[in-house]
Amino acid sequence: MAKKNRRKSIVGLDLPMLITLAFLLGASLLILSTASYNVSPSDPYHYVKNQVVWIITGIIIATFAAAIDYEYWQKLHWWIYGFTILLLLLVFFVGSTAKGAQRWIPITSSIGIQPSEFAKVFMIVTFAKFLSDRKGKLNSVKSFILPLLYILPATFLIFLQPDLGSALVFVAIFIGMMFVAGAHPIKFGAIIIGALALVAAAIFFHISTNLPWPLSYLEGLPLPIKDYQLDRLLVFINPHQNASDDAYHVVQSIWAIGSGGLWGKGYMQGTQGQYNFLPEHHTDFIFSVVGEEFGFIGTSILLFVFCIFILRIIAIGMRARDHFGMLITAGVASMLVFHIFVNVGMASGIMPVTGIPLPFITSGGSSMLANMMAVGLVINVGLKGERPMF
Amino acid sequence: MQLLILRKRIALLLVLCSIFFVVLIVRLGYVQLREGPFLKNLADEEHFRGVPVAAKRGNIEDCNGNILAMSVSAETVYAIPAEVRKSGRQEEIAALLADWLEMDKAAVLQRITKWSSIEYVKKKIPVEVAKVIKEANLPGIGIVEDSTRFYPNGPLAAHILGFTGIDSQGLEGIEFSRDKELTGIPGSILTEYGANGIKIPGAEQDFIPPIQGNTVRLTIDKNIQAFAERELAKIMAGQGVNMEGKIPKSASILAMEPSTGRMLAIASVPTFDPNNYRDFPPESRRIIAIQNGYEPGSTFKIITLAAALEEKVIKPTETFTDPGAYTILGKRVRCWKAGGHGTQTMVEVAENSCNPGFIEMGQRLGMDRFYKYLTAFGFGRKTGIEMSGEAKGIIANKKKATALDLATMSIGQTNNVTPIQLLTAVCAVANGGVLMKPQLVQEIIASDGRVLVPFKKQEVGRVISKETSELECEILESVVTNGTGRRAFLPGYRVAGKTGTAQKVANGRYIQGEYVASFVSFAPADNPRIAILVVIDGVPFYGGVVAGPVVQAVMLDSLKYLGVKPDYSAPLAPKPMYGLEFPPVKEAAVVPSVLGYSVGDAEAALKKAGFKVIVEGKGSSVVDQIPHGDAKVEKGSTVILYLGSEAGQPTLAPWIVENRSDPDVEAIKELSPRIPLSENPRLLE
Repeated sequence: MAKKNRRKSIVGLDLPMLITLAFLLGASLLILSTASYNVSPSDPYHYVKNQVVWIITGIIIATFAAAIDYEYWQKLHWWIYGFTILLLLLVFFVGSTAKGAQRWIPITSSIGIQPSEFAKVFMIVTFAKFLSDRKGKLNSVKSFILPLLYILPATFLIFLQPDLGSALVFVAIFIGMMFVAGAHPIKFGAIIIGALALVAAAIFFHISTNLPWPLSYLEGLPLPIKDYQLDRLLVFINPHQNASDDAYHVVQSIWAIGSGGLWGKGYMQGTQGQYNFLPEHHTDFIFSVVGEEFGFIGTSILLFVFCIFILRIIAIGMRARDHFGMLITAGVASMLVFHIFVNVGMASGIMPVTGIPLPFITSGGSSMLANMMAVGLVINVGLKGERPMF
Repeated sequence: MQLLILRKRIALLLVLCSIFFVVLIVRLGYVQLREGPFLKNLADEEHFRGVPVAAKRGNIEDCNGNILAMSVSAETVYAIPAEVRKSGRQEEIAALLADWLEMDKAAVLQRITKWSSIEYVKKKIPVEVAKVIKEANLPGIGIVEDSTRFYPNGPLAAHILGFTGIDSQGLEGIEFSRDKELTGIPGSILTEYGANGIKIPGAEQDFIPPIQGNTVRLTIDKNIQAFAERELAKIMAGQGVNMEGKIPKSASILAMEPSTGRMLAIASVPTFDPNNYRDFPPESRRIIAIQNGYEPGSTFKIITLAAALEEKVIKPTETFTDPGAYTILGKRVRCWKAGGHGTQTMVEVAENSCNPGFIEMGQRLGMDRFYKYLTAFGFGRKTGIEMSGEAKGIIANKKKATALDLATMSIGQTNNVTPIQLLTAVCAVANGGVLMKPQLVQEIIASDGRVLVPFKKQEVGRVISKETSELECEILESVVTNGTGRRAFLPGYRVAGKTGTAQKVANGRYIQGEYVASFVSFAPADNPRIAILVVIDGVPFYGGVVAGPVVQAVMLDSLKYLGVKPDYSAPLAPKPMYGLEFPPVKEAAVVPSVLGYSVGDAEAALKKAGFKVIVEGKGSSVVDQIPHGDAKVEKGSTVILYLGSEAGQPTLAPWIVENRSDPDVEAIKELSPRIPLSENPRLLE
């Protein structure tokens, strides 16, 4: 019996997903070796070495996550929820400030963890449990309120750091999981669109002047975000007409990607990145380095691999043995797609500058570990799920 | 069952996610493939910073390829302020540069730390200073090759050439009018810079070589120009024949090839040296020959005669009696000769420059026909010669003109013409009847020797018939051989010409005893190779007396130089004419050559030989002299000595002399002896 189970487990491993993941991790090292080469002059491969450590640690974490039956987390889901909130609250007390936001909990002088990255994964797990308990009951607008309230505290805490980008990831996770959980498509869709319209209108009134009466009362409508954050969000719309640093980032990034052309300038040959015209080129704007040095060929291969990887995750979800597993994969897929879309969109000038990392590629421990943890969960869902139907 | 619904949902999620990826791929395709080349340019421009390398300005040559203006290498110091600031040594660098470049330290500091990508510190610095700066290898400070303009012949043809400014941009003359052709295309040294403005170590450096400017070859002949300037120098030194030591206000000599309109010489005094034009008063840059109008006096009678002959209102053989004055509208316009010339043929009227005779021609032509020729010959409008500030001249308003005006106009008074207009008109008479546009530029030659723009003569239009032209050439030859033009007679050459004397006008009245003397002449009369006009403003005597010998000297040298063979059918002496004989050389003396002598030795040698000495320029030894060695002149006349720092060397900027390896400097040295004024004209065969 045990032998049979093990056999089944190995068969249940999704090989394409693992291959694409391996590709992404390898690509991460290759890309970082050129993108971070000029960042740390004393040791050009400082970030690559760090990333190797994160990848190894990540693989270990993913292996653990894949080895532990995900059913087990169901029982702990309130604990996890509480732990997540606690972690996010902790940031406000012991968090270190970087670039005007408190996002880090320092461990040593140079290493710290970014709780928001882990919170995303934790929230996916507990929210999956929360939603699986409500299967078939998400048919009314009223039924949406509780899930919203469930996810709101964590989102709000992250928003307060302030980390608008990560907060929006929670929104994306919420939408993706609610949808897969069976929320009434028309009602849910209407609410999403309504909310988006409301936000758009609020921003419009906030920045508008000289409106006709009685709309003039709404001019300068206060928003819960600071003006510089709003500027960051809107700068991509017309970066060339804007003198801010973010506009500069966007312009430089578009130039970098565009100048790569079809084939790219070659490994380590990108002038935008190598000569520091492109800011944050080893973190938020790492995709621009891919575009500049490896061209359209490089970017489309990378996106293609990402796409296969995501689709495999969803495929695993499709044959999950229960709602809980399926919702976990939906949450992970939503999270990753949102990350990829916003990051690449930001680098190519169709999304706001929000500082969301590119999963597995961007240098950074918390993001890597959290994503690997999520992958481990998905693998476990796959292992416990039904055999592929071929 | 529930699971199945949710599976449908998650399948939808799969589609949704794929759509996101499609959107990204489309966007990247747009940015990288469609906008790619454009964005690549932007990115390249951003990190390549060009240090401009000035193109070498093209030479200006005379018609035989002798260099009149050339460019010599010079160095320019520039700073990359970002690198200077980064080094943190700006104070030290500024102090060093200020010391080397002899500039104010604060000014240097301000420049090298200015908020710009590249800043010039100083242009055209001495070569040895450039070497020191290069060797010091200061951060953010570099040297780039530039060029500076040099006129190897000093003031020769200064008015034609003009000069250039600090950025080698043409400011006047051909340097200005042909700036585009001469400038060339600047190149640049492209270096890669990072976002912080710091040069990337070991980065790519791209050199886009500048494209040298084209050579402008003038129609001017350096030698004929030199003959003209030599005569002007003599006049301005008080050495003019029959000038009694007087120095005129201004003078100009123009020479033109009648058949093509090519200008062979345009010389005016006062003049300047384009190498250091700032040292001369602005008036010296005025081109009298082009920009000043004057009353041409009797030289204009050539036009009256041409019109009268063309319209057949006179016959050369018919007789005219000059009673000494011509009464018109109750006013008597007197002949220059008291008592008149009596009865004479029309040819004799011309020979005698008889005023009543020419007034008669004008009256017979009538107002309409006279004005027709006035316009046809180009008076009252610009000739279009390629020189700035050309004057149009002023001709009397035809509607208001009276018969008396017609009378004075026919003898060259009332109307105001420029020397270039008159010479162009006379050339039309000389060349068979076609008015040519006077031209200065022979051709434009690329740096590889290809002729880009060849010479093309431009006819303005036929003004008189060939027969009339031939007839008048004979009459004008007779003027020189038998008449008032004898001062321009050259034995063995058929010279045609006409004197002119105009009283100067001030406040609407003629000033007594102050004349504008002129003489226009062309030779050989049957096939003119060269036409020369001399105009001297502010002389005590008639034109023939003062301007005749000048035109004679330039004509003789030019004809010999051009290799025009003497015509053995030509008379060897002019017909004697009372009151117009050559003043005999009372006591001839040979001028000793003192080239290369020290000033003291030269003066001693000349004084010993019985000459007076005028010294021009600064230096210890004689570089040139006028008249030249072996010339036979009146004893006791004056010799002008030109001094330079070293015999046979022009006064060069000291750095040029010191840099001995530069090929440009070698080239200058080749050219360095002043115009060899005494050089043998092409020997007669």
